[in-house]
Amino acid sequence: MQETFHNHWEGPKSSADTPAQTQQTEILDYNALVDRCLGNIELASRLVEKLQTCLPQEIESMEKALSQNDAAQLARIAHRLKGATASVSAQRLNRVVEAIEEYGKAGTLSDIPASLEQLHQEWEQFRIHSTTFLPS
Amino acid sequence: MRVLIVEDDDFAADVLENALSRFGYEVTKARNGREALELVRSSLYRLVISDWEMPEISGVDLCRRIRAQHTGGYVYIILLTARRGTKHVVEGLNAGADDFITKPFEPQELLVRLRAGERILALESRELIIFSLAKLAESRDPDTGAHLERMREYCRVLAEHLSRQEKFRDQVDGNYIQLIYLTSPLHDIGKVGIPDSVLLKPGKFTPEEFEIMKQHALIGFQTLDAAARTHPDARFLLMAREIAISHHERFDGSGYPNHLVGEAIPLCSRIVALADVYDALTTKRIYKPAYSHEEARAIIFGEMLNKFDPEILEAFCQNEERFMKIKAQFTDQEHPTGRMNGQSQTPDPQGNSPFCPILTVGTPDAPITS
Ligand SMILES: [Fe+2]
Repeated sequence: MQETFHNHWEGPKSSADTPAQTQQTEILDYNALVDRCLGNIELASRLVEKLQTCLPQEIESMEKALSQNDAAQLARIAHRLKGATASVSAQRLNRVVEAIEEYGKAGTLSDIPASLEQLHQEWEQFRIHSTTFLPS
Repeated sequence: MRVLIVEDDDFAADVLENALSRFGYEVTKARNGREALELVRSSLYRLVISDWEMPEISGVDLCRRIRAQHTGGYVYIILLTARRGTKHVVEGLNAGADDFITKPFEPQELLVRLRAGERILALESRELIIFSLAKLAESRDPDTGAHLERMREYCRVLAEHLSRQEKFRDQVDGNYIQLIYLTSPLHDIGKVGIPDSVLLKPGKFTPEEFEIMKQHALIGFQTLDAAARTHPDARFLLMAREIAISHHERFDGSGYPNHLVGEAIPLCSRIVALADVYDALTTKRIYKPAYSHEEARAIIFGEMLNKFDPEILEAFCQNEERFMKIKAQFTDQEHPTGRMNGQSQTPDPQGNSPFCPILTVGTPDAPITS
């Protein structure tokens, strides 16, 4: 309601967003997530927590698959994460896992270590930023 | 309404479930295609939302298998896809998908798509109800078997042909073809008002009986007219009404009830007239044997030639093979033997046959006094 009011009287909010805010919504666009959950904050928090729990395990599995040169397995895990990060609106994470899925499907394993390194960094950012939305 | 979600990604499944429950749907989740197929077999689900990429059975495979199952009514399938592009959509459509939503989806968009699906399903239920009513009206007449099933197929074939002719291009489009397929089975619905003593009479009609029999066109019209007045937007009722009143009109003006001539007879009724007569000729009735396609053709192009629209006769000529195929596909079960004993086994060009389409065989639809 308030947002609509704001939008109608003061114009779209995003124009007032600072570059830092823009970057943060790319890490986790919490508003988009809550919208997708139709305002169900409890569900939104549960999904963020679920991603926080599963991501480290999935990264570990990907590293294992890489060590075994298993490109197909890498693509499968990355595909799963692509769906999860898209649902949660974690855009930056989503972009990295999408790239890994593509490399996995193409079998170009040489590109994957750099992407996995980037995934670690994005994951760290996501963990810090997303926690601010969770009920303490 | 129930919706079945088929999604191996828990995140997407949870978000979908939440949105659908809020929109008032009753949700069941399947984690893969195998579970989904089991659930669809129960016939409880008419709306299915499935992910595209899943291990083992993909969304596209699932579509194909659901379409191959032929369970109960139509199942409306929406595929969730992360990809875009027409090639992709074509693959989905070929597999039998009805609609697509790209992931991650917007809840409002999802709702719009689901409502569209519900409308389609409601239409299908309506078609079923209409056809059931037509069958019910026919059920007193033990001779007609799969008459309605064949008739609507014949009508579709004729209309499809006309839709490709310059002259009819504006009038006969895909919608028209669908409409005549839907409404042609209602042509004889007025027979519900004809007493058994006339409707089921095996012998020849007296002039009085024939007058009563003719009433079925008017009774059908009045029934459908009452419905059309309260639902003026329902195009199928308007067409059904026209067909009911004028399917016994003949191109040369020898028909009934209004002795309309030529193109004064609505096109839909001119189409139904030929389909109706062809079916009556090629199937066994209590008063006549079944004529072969060739015999029927000879009668239509012989003594009945002037009774039909030449354009529709042309459509018939161009599609004889399809007519024969339809006839073979919907064969009636044999009646107990002996029924035909003592009755004429050859075409009777004098029109001495009692039931309606055959009344037009030979000279006028004037009744025969025996
Ligand atoms: Fe009739």
